[in-house]
Amino acid sequence: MKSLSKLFAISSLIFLIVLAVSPLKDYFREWKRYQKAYNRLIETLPTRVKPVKLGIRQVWNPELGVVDRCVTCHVGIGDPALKKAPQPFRTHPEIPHDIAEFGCTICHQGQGLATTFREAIGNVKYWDRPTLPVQFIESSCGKCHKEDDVPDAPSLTLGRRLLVEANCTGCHRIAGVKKGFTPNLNGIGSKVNRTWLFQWLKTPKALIPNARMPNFLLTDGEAAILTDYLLTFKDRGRISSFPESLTGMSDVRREALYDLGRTRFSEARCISCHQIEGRGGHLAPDLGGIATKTSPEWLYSYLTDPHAFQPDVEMPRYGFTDEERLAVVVYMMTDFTGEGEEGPAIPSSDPAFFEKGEKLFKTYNCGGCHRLEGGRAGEELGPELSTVGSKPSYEIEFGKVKIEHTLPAYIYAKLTQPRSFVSGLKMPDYGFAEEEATALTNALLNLTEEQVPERYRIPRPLESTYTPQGPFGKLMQTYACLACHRINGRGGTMAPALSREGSQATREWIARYFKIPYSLRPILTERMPNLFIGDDEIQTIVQYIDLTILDDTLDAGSFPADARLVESGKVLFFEKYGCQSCHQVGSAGGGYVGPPLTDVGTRLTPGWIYRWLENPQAYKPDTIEPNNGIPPDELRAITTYLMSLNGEQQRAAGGK
Amino acid sequence: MRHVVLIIVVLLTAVGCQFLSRTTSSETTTVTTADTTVVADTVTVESRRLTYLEQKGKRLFLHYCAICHGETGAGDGFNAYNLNPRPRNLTDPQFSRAVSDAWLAEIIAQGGRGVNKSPLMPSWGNTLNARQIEAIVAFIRRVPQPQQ
Repeated sequence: MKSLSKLFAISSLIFLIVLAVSPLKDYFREWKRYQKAYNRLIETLPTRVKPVKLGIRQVWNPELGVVDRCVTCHVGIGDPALKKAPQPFRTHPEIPHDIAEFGCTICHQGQGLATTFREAIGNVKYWDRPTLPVQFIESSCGKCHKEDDVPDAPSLTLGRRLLVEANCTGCHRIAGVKKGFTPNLNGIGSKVNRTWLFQWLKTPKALIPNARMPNFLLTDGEAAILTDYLLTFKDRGRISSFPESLTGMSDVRREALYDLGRTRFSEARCISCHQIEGRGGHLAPDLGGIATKTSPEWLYSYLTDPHAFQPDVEMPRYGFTDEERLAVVVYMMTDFTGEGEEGPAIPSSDPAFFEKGEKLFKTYNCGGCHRLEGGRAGEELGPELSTVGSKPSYEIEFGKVKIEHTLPAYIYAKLTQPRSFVSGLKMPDYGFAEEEATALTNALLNLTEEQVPERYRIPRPLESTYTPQGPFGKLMQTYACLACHRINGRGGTMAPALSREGSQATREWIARYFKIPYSLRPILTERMPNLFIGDDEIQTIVQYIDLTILDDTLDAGSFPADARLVESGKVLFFEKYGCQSCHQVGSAGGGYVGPPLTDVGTRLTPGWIYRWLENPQAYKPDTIEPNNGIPPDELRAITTYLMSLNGEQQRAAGGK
Repeated sequence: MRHVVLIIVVLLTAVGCQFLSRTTSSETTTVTTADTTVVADTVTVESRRLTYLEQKGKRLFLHYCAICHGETGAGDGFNAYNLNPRPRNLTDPQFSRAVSDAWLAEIIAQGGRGVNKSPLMPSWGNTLNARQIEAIVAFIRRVPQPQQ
């Protein structure tokens, strides 16, 4: 019996010691260390900060499914007094969202429920969403913000734009992403020559520097087969014969046409949309090598009516006469011969090129972007990306690429080196820069299966369906006004919005402007082209604008010419508000940021000037014209002064 | 003998339970967040990447201010040569030391005429809110130093 009670004593003792392990572990918690360090730190601060009570702290938002214990260690995150404290106590940078409501993991990801540093970061087993690297944090904005232009999230905005421009939906289905414009390939056999097409299929950017087409990494043989296949698709009667024979032309005639063409080309401002050797606009391809790409007949026919070849292209039909069009073609075919670099040697035709070409066309899903009647239909080759943000990392095949096994790292790597994971992948190489690939990763990461609650969602604004009808509508389509301008929410953003142009500018000025579209805002690189619109067409357009494109809020009463008001307005303009820092007025000089105001009295309406000066951002939210907070009587004086500026006075007087 | 075995089994179970809650520690943690040190910042200011506020300020600066003050703040913007007096060179460290954040915020909000300087500097107080001006001031503070 004695040995049993001894055994009992010893085992009880051991049992007690073992039992003590658990409360001891709880005493030495990691987060308690941090909280105690925090309490020591706040004693050294100049302002009085409340010490924290030791214990787990959390942000709990059941609606968003957030239980974030980050604030257990990051105690001072909401307290502005800790702006200069060391981490982990430093105040969070100021963001538009309340941390107490949203928590942390909604933006940063990671394991919110964890209470140790390593587990919270989340690079642990069974947790699939470690904290996002800082360059990808804007992807979280996209979970609620579904607009195209997200405030304070430039990378996400860029990514959403690139998703459309790069036309990812050509192969991948992505809900809610529109298709970007790609030319159809009907009649391609009559448009380009074999040399050019071969080099294009091998490396598009070598021929057209700003090409959107990616590099499919084709072998020489594959490119040759595809070239021959595509060249069999000839045009069906849209190409008219050239009015004069280029070879039989006399030198004098050619010179005259060249000069005329060059003048018309620069008046037409083709470089507002197109580029020439890397300089110009961003809406259309580089024309530097057009002479080696196509024939004069094709170019002439295309300029006659672009929409006959590409029904949804945004290019306007210029109102050239036949002679002028001929001249422009002569100019372009003479000058735009490209770099003249030797491309790779083309293999000779493979006898079975048609069947092989069809197969290649289908394999690489050319039809996903390019429509081709008679060609194989495009299928969605790539996986659907509508919920790619929810893809668990164990489902991803990382193959030979050495990256972190997380979803953001995979998407970024896939965009920059698409075929490097395993053999047999078909995604082409877009040549994205680091910024672009990061932006696209951000745009893709927020496409998840889970939807945030309705209350938090900011949907994409509905697209405007403004489509003018009748003769005006037809003119708008012919001249592709909405490719650059925006009216009532629909159109491009390259040029000013015209939604209230009738109340904004005078009728005479608008009519004159079509004839001579001079550069109104000198700092912009894009300029309105001279579209050579006929006089009666101009009348139709101006009548429509005058009758319908109005804004009643721009009525600010009458502004009779009053010499005293003009004088006081002038003093306010120059000496109080310093408007001349950005606007020139005749020979008084001034800055060159906004339009010169030398003859603004003949260009704008007084109502517009008044309302604009009152609050510019109400009409153009991004304008850099400051809202000076001008009181109404001063507004009246300045408006009266500006209305008195009609250019002739300045020119006649030759001075202030 | 049977009692001994029973007690030992119970003890071993109790010990084993204590270790259950400990996680395995074999994964490496390659954390790439901005700043994970617990001790005070030992990184020098000059080589620090722009903070969130400074990045916001940079975007605002390039949009509203760079046309006169230049993309780097050196007072060499496109419009600078049309102005007399020239726009301030914000990269000058002497200037940066001589002015306070509050003064910078004031001249941005009230314009040149609000602080008895040239009216050519516009007043932005009605266009930008206080937080935006704070962001711009934070960026202007970084302008004299070379950035990454």
